[in-house]
Amino acid sequence: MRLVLSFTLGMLTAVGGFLDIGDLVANAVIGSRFGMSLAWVIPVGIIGITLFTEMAARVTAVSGRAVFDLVRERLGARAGLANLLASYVITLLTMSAQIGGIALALELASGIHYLLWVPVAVALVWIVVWRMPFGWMEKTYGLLGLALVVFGVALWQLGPDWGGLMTSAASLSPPPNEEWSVWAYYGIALFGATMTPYSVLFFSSSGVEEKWTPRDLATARINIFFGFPVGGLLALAIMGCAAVWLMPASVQVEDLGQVALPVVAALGRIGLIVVLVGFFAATFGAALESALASGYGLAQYFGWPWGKTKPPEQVPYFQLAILLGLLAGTLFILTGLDPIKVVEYSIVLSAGALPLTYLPIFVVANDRGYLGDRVNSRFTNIVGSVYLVLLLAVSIVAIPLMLYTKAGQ
Amino acid sequence: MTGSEPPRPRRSRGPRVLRPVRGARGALAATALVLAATACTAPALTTEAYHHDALLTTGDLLSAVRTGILVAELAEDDRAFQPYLETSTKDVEESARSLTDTFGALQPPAPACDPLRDELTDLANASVHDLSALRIALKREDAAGLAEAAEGLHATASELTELQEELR
Repeated sequence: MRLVLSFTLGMLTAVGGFLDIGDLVANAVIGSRFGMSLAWVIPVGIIGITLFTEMAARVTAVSGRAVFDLVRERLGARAGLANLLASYVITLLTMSAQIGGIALALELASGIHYLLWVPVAVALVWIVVWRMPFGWMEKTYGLLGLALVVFGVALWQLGPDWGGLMTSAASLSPPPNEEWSVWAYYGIALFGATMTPYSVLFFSSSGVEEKWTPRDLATARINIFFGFPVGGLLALAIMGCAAVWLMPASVQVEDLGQVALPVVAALGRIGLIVVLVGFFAATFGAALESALASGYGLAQYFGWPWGKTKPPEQVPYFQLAILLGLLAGTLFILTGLDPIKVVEYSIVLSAGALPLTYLPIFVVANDRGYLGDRVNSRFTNIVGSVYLVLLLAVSIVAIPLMLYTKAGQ
Repeated sequence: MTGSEPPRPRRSRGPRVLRPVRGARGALAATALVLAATACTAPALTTEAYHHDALLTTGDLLSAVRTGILVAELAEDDRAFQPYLETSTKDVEESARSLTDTFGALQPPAPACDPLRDELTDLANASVHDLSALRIALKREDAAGLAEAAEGLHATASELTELQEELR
């Protein structure tokens, strides 16, 4: 019975913790502008993130060490530094966006300007990182994130033309009056939002925190193989709600309030409460993960002691790195930059840096010195290689497309 | 599966000599340049470019106005809480105001573009006015003001839709 509960909790946590502000915004923006024509990007991204997260989990469970730690050792300081720089800058930008997302969710609930909520949001994140036990932290925001299932309920309630949605999803082309370059740009943004590097870094390091062994691999795989696809269904529901309710009204999503509009229209005040809880949980959870990921990356590269489960006095540099990262993210958001714009830029820049994160994981996952017989199977290597080529192609075109389309205008 | 070989022991690390990664500063500078370039509003040097900017502005204004209409409907049906309604309206009002300022700052490339500029500027100002009226009515919980604002938004949305079709 305990085992069943543990599995269930883990799966639910994986589902609820999958989405962050990037997914919320990207799926709503795309649904409101392109309908379901970019829905295919979500399963492509899900397969990719599932594949590489499984590799990271396997590396951690077998070696007892975090992936980034091994990357530095296996590939050398220079390659490790390139990996660190790419993922650290993107993680900080992502964390800023999540902090902005928390503040925006609180503004929608209270009417108080989001900038006034930013210091509160950061303080809350810091307190949880400092004080809350690791397992509690994961399960709390993971389960609260399940509130985003409200998008699925709202989509059902809106009574869409399911055939029309399927036709749009199968079209694989932009709607009339939209250019291919802009459509491709948003496809890359969605792909970047689905395959954010910080989540893999966090997942691997949390495995070390929870002292995974090869026995824990089965549980981790179930959480990954079930949780991520179901999380992908939530992302499709967000896109679907925007496609059904906002696109016909010529509303293009530019703020978090518009993301919630279809849910409020379908379910009223109850829907509004649930969706705001979901927004808060998703952004807060992602802020925790990205804050910890920033600390993990630096500590593992420089060889500092690290771990949220360890007393702060034993890991001073790790805690300092997290604190400084949070402060940097706070100051960035307090400049008044639109958090939604920060989100959009962070996911595209993330797409541009994906090979630097995932190639080293691929290399380590094939190293028998660390994994023995549990290296990648031939099937995993084939699919992984295909994805590495895809990641490289995406990273090459991401920035030029951003410039050419002026960030999707 | 069982591991037949033990994991490789940690290699001893010699003295750490970190050479600066070449191009790291350049990469950061390039990133900053990209972000700045995509955020800039380029001048419209040709009539075609001006029409394109006008089309984009019309579409964005229409989005803001239609959002206002949806919010007004939710308020009339009492389907949402005040903070959400006020915040959503405030956000699109600010967006409309920003669009008005940005388009107004564009230099028409030829006198032939002046009528378009006048028409879109008037519609932009009307959008801001109607959304402000909605925000004020919501804050005051003024049902009559809400209905009046919604009517204004509907009229502005119709004109924006017509202009959008002309420009396509």
